[in-house]
Amino acid sequence: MARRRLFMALLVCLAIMGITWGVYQEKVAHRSLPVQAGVPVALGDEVNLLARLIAAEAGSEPYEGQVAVGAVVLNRVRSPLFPSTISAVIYEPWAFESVSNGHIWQVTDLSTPTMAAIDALNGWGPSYGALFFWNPYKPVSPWVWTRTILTQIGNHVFAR
Amino acid sequence: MEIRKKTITLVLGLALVLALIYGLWERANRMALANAVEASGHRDFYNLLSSVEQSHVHLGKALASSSPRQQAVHLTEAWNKAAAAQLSLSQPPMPQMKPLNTSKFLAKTSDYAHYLAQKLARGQDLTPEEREQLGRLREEMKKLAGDLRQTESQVAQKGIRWSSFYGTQMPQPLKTIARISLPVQATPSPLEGLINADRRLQTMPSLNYDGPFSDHLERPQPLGLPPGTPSQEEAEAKALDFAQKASSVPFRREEVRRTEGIIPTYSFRLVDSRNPRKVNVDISRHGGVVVSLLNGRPVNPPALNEEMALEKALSFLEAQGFNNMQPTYSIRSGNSQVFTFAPREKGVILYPDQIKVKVALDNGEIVGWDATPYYMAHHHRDLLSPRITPEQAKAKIPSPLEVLGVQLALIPLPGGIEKLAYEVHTKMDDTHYLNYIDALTGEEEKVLQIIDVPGGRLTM
Repeated sequence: MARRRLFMALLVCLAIMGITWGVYQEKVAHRSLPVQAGVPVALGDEVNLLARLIAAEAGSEPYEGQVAVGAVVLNRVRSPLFPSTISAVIYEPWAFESVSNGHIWQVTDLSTPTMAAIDALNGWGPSYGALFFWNPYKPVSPWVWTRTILTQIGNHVFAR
Repeated sequence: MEIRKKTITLVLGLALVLALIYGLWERANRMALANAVEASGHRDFYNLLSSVEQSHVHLGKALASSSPRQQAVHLTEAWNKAAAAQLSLSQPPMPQMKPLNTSKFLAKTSDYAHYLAQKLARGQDLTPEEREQLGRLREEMKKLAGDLRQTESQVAQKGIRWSSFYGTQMPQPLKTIARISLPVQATPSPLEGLINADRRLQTMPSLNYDGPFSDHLERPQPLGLPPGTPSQEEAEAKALDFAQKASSVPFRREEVRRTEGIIPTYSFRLVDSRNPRKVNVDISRHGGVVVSLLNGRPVNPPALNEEMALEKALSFLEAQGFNNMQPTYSIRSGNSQVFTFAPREKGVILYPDQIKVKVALDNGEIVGWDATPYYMAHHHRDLLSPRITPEQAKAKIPSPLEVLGVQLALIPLPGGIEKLAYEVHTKMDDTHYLNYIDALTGEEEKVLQIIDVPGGRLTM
């Protein structure tokens, strides 16, 4: 009898855990709405859009590495291999990891990335015409290694 | 005892029902999202298909029509539709493939149609070679439409579920077990049509014309680098000297790397001997000139105004040996001011040879330098003399526009072409424009609108 009671208590515990986990998941999903310091922001402005991508992709990189990521987006806009607008380049499916995992809508510190985005838009591009960048210390699609590597800045390899 | 048992069963039952309801609700949410993804995938795909088909039709009509006016109309349509197709192509989710060659084909076809339409608008006829080229592009567009229609039949039969491409990945050990127990059979991918098209378009014949995507522009060569190849030590000395002159503090090297861009460089990360701030300086490996400097320090609220900053930028340029530079545009960026300079030679502004200088408005330090356009374009030019007078150029401006000024300028045009033109500064209502009149033929080459932004001016 006692054993059966224990078993049932265990089941109840499991059910409660399951529900809490579900609710927790739901909370996490809610965070991926576009907000900045808790306030929803308009994403229409392309400087802001570029700054967000830089913050999400290269937030902890050196400054020239941040500008270089912005320059990759702008090089893509000018390239016939990629769509011709900033928003279409950024939101191309699987083009950027931070868009696929929603990190781009969670970044909060946009001060330095905004400067980097403006510098990139003003033509500073220490990415030397690069169209791709990736972190060589993380697993990536083997396909990217067939591209011509131009340089490495911080934790990112830049390639054409 | 009996009652306790009943209570426990009741609680358990309730928990199960709650969990079930929650699960069903989650499933309904997931389905709603999956349907939205499905709809957007379909929308992009059908946009792509119809744009490709219409572009094909208009390319055909351009070849079939006998009057240049009709040809120009159909080429303009073909240009727009191919550009729309290129945009749509990038949007539906396609796992394991990137249709880069198809994208390139659509962009080039669009660009080429645009170039030909402009040529017709200038009153020139299509040459037999251009007609042949157009015919080849039309043929490729037809094949692409066929491949897309093959994919479409898959889409229509629900052989493709766009939303299924977004599934979360199975953990690696599970994947391995699945692969061992269920050997993968070589089933054709539902996107086979597109994959075939992309493979075929890899071997596109080259297109040379006066447009940005012409093959002769794929690897531009710098024209302005001086001769000689300095050693890394010499380049480093140059970088340290340049950074010191820009910031008025001594620097030391922290890191150096080689870059292989259009202008190959030694790229130095320098650090201020006293403060922990960093500057990145690029010295070209051929010629040993300073291509770019970037100082990412945060700039405090301004103590200088735009005019004082311009003085700083000009005297820095002169100290670097650039004596004939003239400011053209200026824009405020945060607490810094970015100036674009172009040289003036015999009264002509050379717009292709630009240098950008960024001045921090808190202490006048030079925090940015970009001479890439200058070293790409600068070379000795034998400038032609204008064949029309400034008055004749002004007379070309339509009457509602008020003329504010006129000067001679060398302007870059798509396709790497440079043209001598009169830059006529005009105003209509409250909007300023720059009209460029060819100084040899008197034809208008382009019109730019000046956009006033806070702390600067941009053109579009």
